[in-house]
Amino acid sequence: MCAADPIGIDLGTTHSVVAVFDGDRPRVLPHPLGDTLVPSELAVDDGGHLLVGAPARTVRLRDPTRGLARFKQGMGSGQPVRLGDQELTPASASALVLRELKQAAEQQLGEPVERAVISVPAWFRESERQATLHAGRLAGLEVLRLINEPTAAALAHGLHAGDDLRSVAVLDLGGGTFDVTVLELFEGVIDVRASVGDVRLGGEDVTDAIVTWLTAEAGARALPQRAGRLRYSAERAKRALSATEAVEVVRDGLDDGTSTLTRAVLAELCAPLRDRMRRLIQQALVQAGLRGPQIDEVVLVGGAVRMPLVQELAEAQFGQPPLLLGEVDHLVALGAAVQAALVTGHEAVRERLVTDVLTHSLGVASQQRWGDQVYADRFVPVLGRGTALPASRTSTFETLHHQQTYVEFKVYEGERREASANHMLGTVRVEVPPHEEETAREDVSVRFTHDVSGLLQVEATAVSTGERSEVVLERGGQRYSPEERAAVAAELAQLKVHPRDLLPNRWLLERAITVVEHLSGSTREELDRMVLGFEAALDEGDPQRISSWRAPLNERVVGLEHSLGIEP
Amino acid sequence: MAGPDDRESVLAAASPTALFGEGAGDALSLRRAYAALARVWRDDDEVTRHVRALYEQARAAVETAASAPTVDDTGTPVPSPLPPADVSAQLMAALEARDAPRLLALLRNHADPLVLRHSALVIDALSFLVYGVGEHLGPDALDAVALVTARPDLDAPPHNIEALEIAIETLRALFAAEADPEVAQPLCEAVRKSWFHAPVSAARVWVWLRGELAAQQIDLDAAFHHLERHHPALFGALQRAEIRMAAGGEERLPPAEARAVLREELPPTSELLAKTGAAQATLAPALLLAVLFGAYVCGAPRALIVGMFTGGIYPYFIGPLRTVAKVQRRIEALTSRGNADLLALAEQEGLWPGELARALVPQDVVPRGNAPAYPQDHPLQQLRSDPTALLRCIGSAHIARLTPPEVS
Repeated sequence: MCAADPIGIDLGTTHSVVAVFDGDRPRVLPHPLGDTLVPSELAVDDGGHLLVGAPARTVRLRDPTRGLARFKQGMGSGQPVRLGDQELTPASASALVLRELKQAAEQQLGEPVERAVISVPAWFRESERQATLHAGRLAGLEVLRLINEPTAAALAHGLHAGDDLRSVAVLDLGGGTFDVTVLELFEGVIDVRASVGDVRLGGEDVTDAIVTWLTAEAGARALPQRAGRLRYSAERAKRALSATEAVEVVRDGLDDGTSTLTRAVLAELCAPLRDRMRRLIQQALVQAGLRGPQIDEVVLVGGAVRMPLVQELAEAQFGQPPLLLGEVDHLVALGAAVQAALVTGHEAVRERLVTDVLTHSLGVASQQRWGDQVYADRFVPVLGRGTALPASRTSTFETLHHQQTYVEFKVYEGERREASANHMLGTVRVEVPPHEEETAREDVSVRFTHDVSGLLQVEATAVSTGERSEVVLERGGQRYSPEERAAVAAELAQLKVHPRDLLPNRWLLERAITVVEHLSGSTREELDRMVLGFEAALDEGDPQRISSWRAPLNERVVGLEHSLGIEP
Repeated sequence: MAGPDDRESVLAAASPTALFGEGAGDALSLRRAYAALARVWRDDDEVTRHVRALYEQARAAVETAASAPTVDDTGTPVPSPLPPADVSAQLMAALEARDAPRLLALLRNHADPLVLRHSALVIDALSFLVYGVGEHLGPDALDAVALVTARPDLDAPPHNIEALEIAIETLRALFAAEADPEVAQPLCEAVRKSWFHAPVSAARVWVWLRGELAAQQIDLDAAFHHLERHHPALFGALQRAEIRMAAGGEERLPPAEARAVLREELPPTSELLAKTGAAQATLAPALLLAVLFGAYVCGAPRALIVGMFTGGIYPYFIGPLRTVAKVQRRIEALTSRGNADLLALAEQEGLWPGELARALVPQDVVPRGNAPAYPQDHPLQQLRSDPTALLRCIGSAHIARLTPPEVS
C-alpha cells in the first residue's frame, strides 16, 4: 500500500485537528468518533488503559486526577506531567495525541500516513519547536515543516483571495496561546510582515478567571476531585456568554449555589488579559510599520475568538469589524495541509509563495563598553526579530585582550538585553592569533544564516587569519539523538492503550457514568442498571449482546446529556 | 534591470532599481516584480535572500515617500522630503522641529535601519517622546515607543534605557489610572501637568493640586491608598515628585527654635538606650546575688537584704523604668498633637517633609534594629513615611524657594 499525501495537523492546547490537501483544496478529516475537533487530552480508565481525545476529556471532567490536558503549554520546558501513576514529558503526551490523529487520518484515507506539517504558535521558541518536532517523530511521522499557526490560517484564508494588495491581520486566540500576525496578500504571495504572541495567554485564562470569580463568590475552595466540574461550569458559562448577555452559573464543585455572570462582569474579569492582547496587537502593528486602520482585513482564528470581548477588542484596535469565518476552528489545520502541498510541490498551489519571519532575535553574548563602564553579558542580536526568512547577516566583534587565543560565541535566542536571560542554542569557537602589543585587538566576524526550514548556521571567522569555525543548529532534532528517541518511543509503546475498535463503546460508557453522577432518584437507578448491563456485555465481549445494550443506552445518554446540558 | 532567469545577474544587482527596474516605483508594481523573482528563485536560498534584501530596501523607500507630508497643519506646502534612504536625516530634522508625530512615524516605519545604524539618534528621539511629550502620547503610541526602547539591539548605556523604561511604565500607569473611575483624577492631572517639568513648575502644579483636592473634598489617604494598591507605578511617581522638587534647591534646616523644642521633647534614643541598657545589664546579676546571699545567710539580719534592694536594685531598676515612663509620656503628648504642627512649620518655612524629618531626627535618634522605637503613629515616623505629607504642606514658600533669583 502506498503512503497517503502528507497531512496538516493543528496541534492545539485544547483541541487538535487534522486535514489533508485533496484534489485542489484542503479538507478536514473527521475523527472516527464523529467530531473534527479532537480534544488534546489524555486519561486513564479504571483498567489503567490510556484514553486519548474525547473519551479522555469525559474522564478528566469527571475526575481531574485521572486526566491530563493543556500539556502543550509545557512543551520544551523539560517539566514532566503526571497521568495517573505515569510520568510523561509534554512532548510524549503530545506524541500520543499526534499518533491518535495519524491513525484517525489513516482510517479516513485508507492509506498509511507517514509525513505531516505540524502547526505551532508563532511565538514558540526554539526549545518548544524542538519538542513539537520530537513529538511528531515519536508519533511515527516525518515532520516536513513546522508552520506558524497564524501563517497557516492566512494560507488557508488566502487561497480564496484575489490579486489585490491587501494587508491582513490574523488574530489567533486558542486555548492557551495568542498570536498576532500581520501579513500582505497579493497575487498568491503571502508575505508575513510581523508575528508576535504569548504562549501563556488563551481562552483557558478566561476560564481560569471565571473559576477564580466563582470561588470568591462561594467563599470556598473546590476539592481537587470536584475541580473538574467547577471548571466545566465556568467553561459552559464562558461559551454561553458568546450568545447571551447574562448567564446563571451553578457553582458546581463548590457550594452548588448559583451566581449571575454578565458580559460586563466578564469584561472586568478579563481586563488584564484584554490589555495584554491589545499590547500584542500594537506590537505586531509597530513591527509591520502599520497603524490599525491601515489593515484591510482582520481575520479571527481559534475557538476562543467567539468571545465578544475579543471581537470588540479587534474592532477597537483596527476600526473595522473582524472576519469570523465559519471554519474558525479548522483554518490552521487547513493551512498546514496547504503548506504540506506546497512542500511537496503540489500542482494546485504552484503559484503560492509564503515568506515567513523570524519571531525571536538570534544573536550572541558580548561585553559592551560605555565610557569607563564595561557591561558584561549583553545580548547582541545578529538576526533581529521580524527578519524575513531565509536570511543571512554578519556582525563583527573584537577580542577583549591582546593575548587572547580564542573567542567562544554563545548563541542565544530571545529579546532580553542580558544574554543569559535568553535561551541558549549553542556555542561556536574560533582560534585567534595573540598579539604582543597591549592595545592590539583581533576582529572576529560572525555570520548567521537561517533558512526557511529552520536550519541556523553560525560561522565565526578570525578576520586577519581567515581561520573559520561553524556550527549548524538544526531547529529541531538536535537535542534528541536517535537512541534517545528510540528509548522514549519504547516507553510510550509500553503504555496500555485502549484498543481503537473498542473506543466508541468505552466513550459511551464514560459518558453514561458522567450522566449518572448528575442524576438522582429513579432515573439514576434506571440508567445505572443500563450502565451495569453494558459493562457486563463489554466484559463478555459478545458483539450481539454489546450492540443490544448499546443502542438503548446511547439513545438514553444522548437525551439526558441534552436535557442536563452536558457536552459529550 | 537584472534578467529574472539569470542567477549571476540577479546576484550582481546592487540596488533595488537594478533588480526591479525603474518601473517598480509604486507599491503594487514593486510587489509584482518581487513576486515574479521570488517565485523563480524560491528554492535557491542565496538568491532569495538577495532579492528579499533589495525588496525590503525598495519597499521602505516607497513607504517613506508615500508617508512624507506635503503640507503642514496650516495647509502650507512643505519642502520636498529628504532622500528616502536617509531616514536618519529625517529623524534628525523631526527631532529639531520637535515633531512628535513624524518621529513616531519614522520609528514605526524604519525602526530596523535606525536602531541598527543610528542608536544614539534613536535614544534622543525616544527621550524627547517620553520625557518631552510622553503625557500626550496615547497608549498605542506609547506601546510603539516601548517596543523600540525594549529592542536588545538598541545600542545605548543600560542606565539610559532603564530610565526610559521607568518613565514608560509610569506613563502606562497614568493612562490606566485615568481610565479608572476610582482614582482621584486631580492626581492624574497633576502628574500630566508636571511631567518632567522644572522643579518650580512642578511645585506650582502641586500647590494647585492641594487646592483642587481640598475643593473637591477628596480624602487624601483613601486616594493614595487606592493608587498604591492598583496603580503602584503612578504612586511611585507621586512619591518621587518630592525628591525631584527637593533636588531643585539647597537643603534647609528648620528654625533653631523649633528644632530645640522638639529636641527637648524627644531625647535622643541613644541616651534612653544607655540608661535602660545599663539597667538591663546589671539587673539580673544583682537580683541573683541578693537571692543567693539571702539564702546562704538564712539567719542573717534582714537589713542586709533590704540594703541590697534599696542600695543596689533601685538605681539600676526603678530609676530607668521611671525614665522610660517619663519619655513615653512626652512621646504620647507629642503624638496627641499630631503632625499638624510639623506640617505647619514645613509650610511656613518652605521645607519638604523629608527634609524636616531628616533635620529633626538626627542619625543617633533614628531607632535601629530591635531597639526601643518611636511608635509608628509618632509624628516624625508619619512624616517620614506619609506619601500625602507634601500635599498637606506645599505652599507659596516652596515656590519662592525654588524660583531662581533674577539676574540683573
